[in-house]
Amino acid sequence: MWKYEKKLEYPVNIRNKDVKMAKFLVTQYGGANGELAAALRYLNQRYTMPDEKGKALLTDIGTEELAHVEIISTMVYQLLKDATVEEMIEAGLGGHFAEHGKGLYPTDANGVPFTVKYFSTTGDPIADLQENMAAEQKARAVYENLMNMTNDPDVLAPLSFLRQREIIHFTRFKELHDEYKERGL
Amino acid sequence: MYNYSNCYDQTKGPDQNTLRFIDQPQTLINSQEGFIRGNMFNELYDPYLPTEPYRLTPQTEREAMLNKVREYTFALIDLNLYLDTHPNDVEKIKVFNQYSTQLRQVTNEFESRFGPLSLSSEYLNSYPWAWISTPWPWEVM
Ligand SMILES: [Fe+2]
Repeated sequence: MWKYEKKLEYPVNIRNKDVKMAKFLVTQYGGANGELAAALRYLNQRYTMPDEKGKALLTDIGTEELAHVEIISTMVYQLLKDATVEEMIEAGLGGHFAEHGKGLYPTDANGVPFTVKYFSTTGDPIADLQENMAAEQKARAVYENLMNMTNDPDVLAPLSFLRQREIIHFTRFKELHDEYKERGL
Repeated sequence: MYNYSNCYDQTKGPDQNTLRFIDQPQTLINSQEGFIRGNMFNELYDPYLPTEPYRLTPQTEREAMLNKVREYTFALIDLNLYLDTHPNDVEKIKVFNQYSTQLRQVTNEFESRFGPLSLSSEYLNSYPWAWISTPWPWEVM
């Protein structure tokens, strides 16, 4: 089971609305390389990890990714909070407003809704861990793209934190992957 | 019928050319710096745009104390992931438990002043129900 803590893993306090940035940033919520996909993929893959290290790592990284879903959701919410309907239409979020109002909805930057295909599970620990290593690298790259699209330190600071977490997650998946390879699992 | 032979050289063992992170040193930075970096490990830190990580300058005492809670929470998250793949590192287990003690202290201090952070808090026996009286994390402070 999970327990909720009434705090973000890293603080988010965005003072200036930026509807365009919200439209791009939402991909780290509902896109192929986003935090929701990562969280649910790891928590789904953990059942068939072959040893205690694997079950622990997939559970723990999956759990941290849930905290990242909350950080990204908070960022999108704060960037959009004071936006007018006109501003949302202008920034390319007219369709979003028509379907969801100001509500959050997991899509990529082009508005393509989240899909369970992002779970990408084979049941083979080596294939699943390689999938996850690639996913962490892709998420890191997307964070860098997003960091190039804003000058706002309120947005850059949490993006920089989250990007660094992808590097750690990649490293831990790789350590587990290399050990499984060596043991012939 | 084909006769498939194993062209894989068994004597070499798997993945000879793969860099193994597992043998690299992973030394710890202090929790304050680790938290703003998003990374507790010196050798793994790999910043992108700025050479200096973003400094957090809390505007209220509540936020400053909450950052202390976040800092130790983060140290435990990152150390735990490390220990999942290095369960025999006695030194890191010690450091984990030191941060764990510090987290309990600052959490208790924070909750005594600003209310419960979780439903395991000792500060849930006031009236009306304290859980809904403190701000939600996504609200701008
Ligand atoms: Fe990650």
